[in-house]
Amino acid sequence: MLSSDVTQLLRSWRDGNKQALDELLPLVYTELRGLAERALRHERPGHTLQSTALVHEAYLRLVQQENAEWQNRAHFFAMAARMIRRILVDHARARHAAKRGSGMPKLALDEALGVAEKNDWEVLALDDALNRLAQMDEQQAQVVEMRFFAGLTVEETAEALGISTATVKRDWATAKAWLFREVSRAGGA
Amino acid sequence: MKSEQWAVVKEILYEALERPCEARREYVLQACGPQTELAEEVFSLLNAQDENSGFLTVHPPAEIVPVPDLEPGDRIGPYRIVEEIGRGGMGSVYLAVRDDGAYEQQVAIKLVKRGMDTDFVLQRFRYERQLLAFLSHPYIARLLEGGTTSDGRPYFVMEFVPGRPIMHYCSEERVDLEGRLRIFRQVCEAVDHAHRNLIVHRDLKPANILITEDGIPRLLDFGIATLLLPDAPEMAAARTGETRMLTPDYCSPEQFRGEPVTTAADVYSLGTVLYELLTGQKAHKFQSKVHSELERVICHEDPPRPSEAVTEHVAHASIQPRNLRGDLDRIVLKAMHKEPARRYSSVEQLSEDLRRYLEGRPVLAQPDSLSYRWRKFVARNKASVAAGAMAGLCLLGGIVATAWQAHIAGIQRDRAERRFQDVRRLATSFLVENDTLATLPGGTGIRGKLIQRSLEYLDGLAREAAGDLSLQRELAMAYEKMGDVQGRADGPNVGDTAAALSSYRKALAIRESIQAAEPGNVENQRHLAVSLSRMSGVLKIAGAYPAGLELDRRALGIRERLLAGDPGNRGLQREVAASYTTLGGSLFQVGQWSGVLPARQNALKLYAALAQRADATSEDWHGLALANLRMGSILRHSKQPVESERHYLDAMKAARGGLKLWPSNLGLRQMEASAASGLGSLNLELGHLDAALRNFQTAQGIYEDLGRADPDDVRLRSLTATEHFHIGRALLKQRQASQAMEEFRQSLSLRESVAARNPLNAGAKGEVAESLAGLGDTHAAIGNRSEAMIWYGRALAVLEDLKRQKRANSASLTELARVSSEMAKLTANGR
Repeated sequence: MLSSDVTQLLRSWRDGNKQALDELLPLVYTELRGLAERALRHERPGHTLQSTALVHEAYLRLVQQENAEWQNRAHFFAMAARMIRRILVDHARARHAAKRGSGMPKLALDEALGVAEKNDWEVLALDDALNRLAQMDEQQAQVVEMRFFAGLTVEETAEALGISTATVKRDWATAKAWLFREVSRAGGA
Repeated sequence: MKSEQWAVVKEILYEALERPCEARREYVLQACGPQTELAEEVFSLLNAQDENSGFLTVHPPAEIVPVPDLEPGDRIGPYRIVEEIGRGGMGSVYLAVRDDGAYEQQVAIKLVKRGMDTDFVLQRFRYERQLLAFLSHPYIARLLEGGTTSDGRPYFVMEFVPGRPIMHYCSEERVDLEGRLRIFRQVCEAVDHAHRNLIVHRDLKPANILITEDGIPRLLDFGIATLLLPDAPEMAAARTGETRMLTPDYCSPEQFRGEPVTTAADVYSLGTVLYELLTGQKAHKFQSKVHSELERVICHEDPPRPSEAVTEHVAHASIQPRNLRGDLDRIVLKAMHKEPARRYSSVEQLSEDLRRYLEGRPVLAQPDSLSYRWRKFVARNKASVAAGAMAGLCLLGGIVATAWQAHIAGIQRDRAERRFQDVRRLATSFLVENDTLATLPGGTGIRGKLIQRSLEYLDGLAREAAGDLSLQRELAMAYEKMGDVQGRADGPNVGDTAAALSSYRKALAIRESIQAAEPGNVENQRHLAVSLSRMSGVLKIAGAYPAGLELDRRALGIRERLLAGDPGNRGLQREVAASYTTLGGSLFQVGQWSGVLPARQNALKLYAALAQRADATSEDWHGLALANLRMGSILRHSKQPVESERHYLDAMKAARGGLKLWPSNLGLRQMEASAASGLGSLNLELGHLDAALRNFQTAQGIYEDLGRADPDDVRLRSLTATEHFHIGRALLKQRQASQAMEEFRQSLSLRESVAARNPLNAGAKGEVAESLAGLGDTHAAIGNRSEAMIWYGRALAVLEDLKRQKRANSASLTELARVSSEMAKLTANGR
């Protein structure tokens, strides 16, 4: 995978080419997953990484640094946020199923992402609530993805979504309240 | 819920959240009016908000995951990778070979991990290379070169050392207590050598201390930490804290807290290594790796005495608690004292104390006194007591803490931003007002405290605002002013060269990066030149004369270029003139005589033009006096007494003329004294002894006046000492030996106090030797041959030491030759 390709795709996506995103997603997904697994192999047991660190590393690896632009970075992180969410949810589902079946799976991927203390159920409940939030307000759900799953700052989130920082702050504060209530109601938090 | 409904709920919810808790209910009821369902929905969400403080907490980016990047067979520059042999917080280390046909050389290559600022690291490397080049020692693995990989990552090539880490070696070879101490002292020797060359390791740990099969230690990674660890705030964005990169097992409290790092940090780390070497377990015992636990252990918890910590791992080396109890306990704990000031003041002293132990002599390390422990107890229990010393600044501290927390939490951001600006303004105003203190008597100590505080705040703010160029400019200024107080070469200072060097280095690094960000900006270039000159000044104090000279040339180049573009600019004229003055001094010190006179003539020409104007400043008059003084001195050395005298008199005239306009200006007063002293030296050489004495005494009177007014300023103490020395010489020529002896003794005791306070100051050591030799001269003159030999011998030891460390300036070298020949004469006469 040449980093210039990713840079090009990012630029193209930013300029409004939706197809570029479809090409990017599998690349980033593979990279993030690979990184998480490789990191686990090389780390001492019990040492957890965080998703934000993982996203930074993926970005550094995938994007050509000489012409890395700030907007590219924000867009990349936005996309990576969705990927992290997907990785976590896939994994929680798999493990949830495995727990009922035959013991724990060997690879604790979510541990690598620093969310080991959350139980699988909570991840799934959050995912579910986020989907419902997206139905009411898609942009607000995106704000949560970027802030929480990729660790973007308010400014970076605003940049990636092309909205004001005031809007990001408002969306974030109210979404937290709403999601918390929904997850609690579902018995998750 | 439908989108439109949610939009309304969201709006009211957010407005409510923005209000204090007690006002929310009323607001919601009012906003919702008769729509009770809407109000209930909002209340239900508000209740959820109250409980969810930890929910969806956004973590800051953590350490970036290390992943192996190079496979065997990959190439870096001319080197071929053989295998990965290590990995640390800063990157991976590979064994590699250089195979360009003729021969194969094994090397270790440290590849810096991604995410570190490449430009910054390389820039720093280029700049530090000069210092690293001095570092040639049999126990230190050499840094061979540095470069960048094709994908832009910095790497360093080091000599490959086949050996085992010190702990493994000692346990596998069953090295006994004495053997361990002997090896450890060799390690100390290497570290001490580096410190004398102004290089702090910053990451000493067993993994960096290899022992070869012959039992010889080789230290790795010297200078690397300084190159890589961001101690300048422009790296704040990439910084995840020095502690994340260093292993916390051997990290000193000041490093952990991110404070300026000096040689004392290496003393601490060596203490932890010795602890482990003697007990078989680490000095820092962490329950977990969370930050608060690391902080508790590193910064607050005293480790158990080594004798109480001995494990079975060292049993085979027949180390028993009784071997460690007492002396070794105290030595280890003194080396790793939490407070840098209470550790051994140098690695050499640590090593010496171990030698005393090995020779069965009493050691210097003593347990903390009862009164010290009591003070510490008070401090621990009332942290505010210490902080209360400066009430105004305490208030400032409170505001900072609040602003910072608010900032971090991302709540009430606007308010945080406003506070942030307030604090910044306050901190900056402390710095600016500081300048008025600089020209007032007695200001040195207070200035230091004010700047230190301001700096802490700015530092904290900078972490939050990386990329803000104007803040970085303020920060560079703050570091520079801190450096000024700590040890500026040509201004009032407290004589801490190591600390000054560290501050100036930070200022310079920031300025270089600002300059890189805005290459066309003239102000940036001017500031950069200032930083270069300040840095050069302290390098020369420390005896790194060639390195200083190079920076002087760079500063002059920048300033001349700027002046060429704006020839009428008086500020730039002053700066060029100052640069010539400094350059002349540097050339003088390295003995490049031919360049000295032209540089000084240039300086004089510029200052003469500046001081002639009706609106000339005190700085211009000072410059004119200084330029004449320096001309007088070089002409005196080149035996042109008439010309020399004319310039000394001109210097005196300029100083006194300036004092009429600015009667309390310290710099001008000092120029007056220096001119008198110069005339005295000239008189002495011409044999006009009475005139010489008169002039020296005038100078001494002024220096003593100034010194009484500002006792913290070591420079004045050293100038006073020099006049005692001069008077001694004049008296000796008048054959008044006992009076001369007294003067030499006074100069010696003052100079020793200056040198002891600042072990890095090479010039101060040279002056101590000069006074010792003066006592030798006096004894020789009255026929005390054996006494004379003793004093000369002491002088010789100091001077040879300087020469060996390549820190001797031309004056020290001349004195060395003179003392040697006096000793030879005495020996010959004695036969």
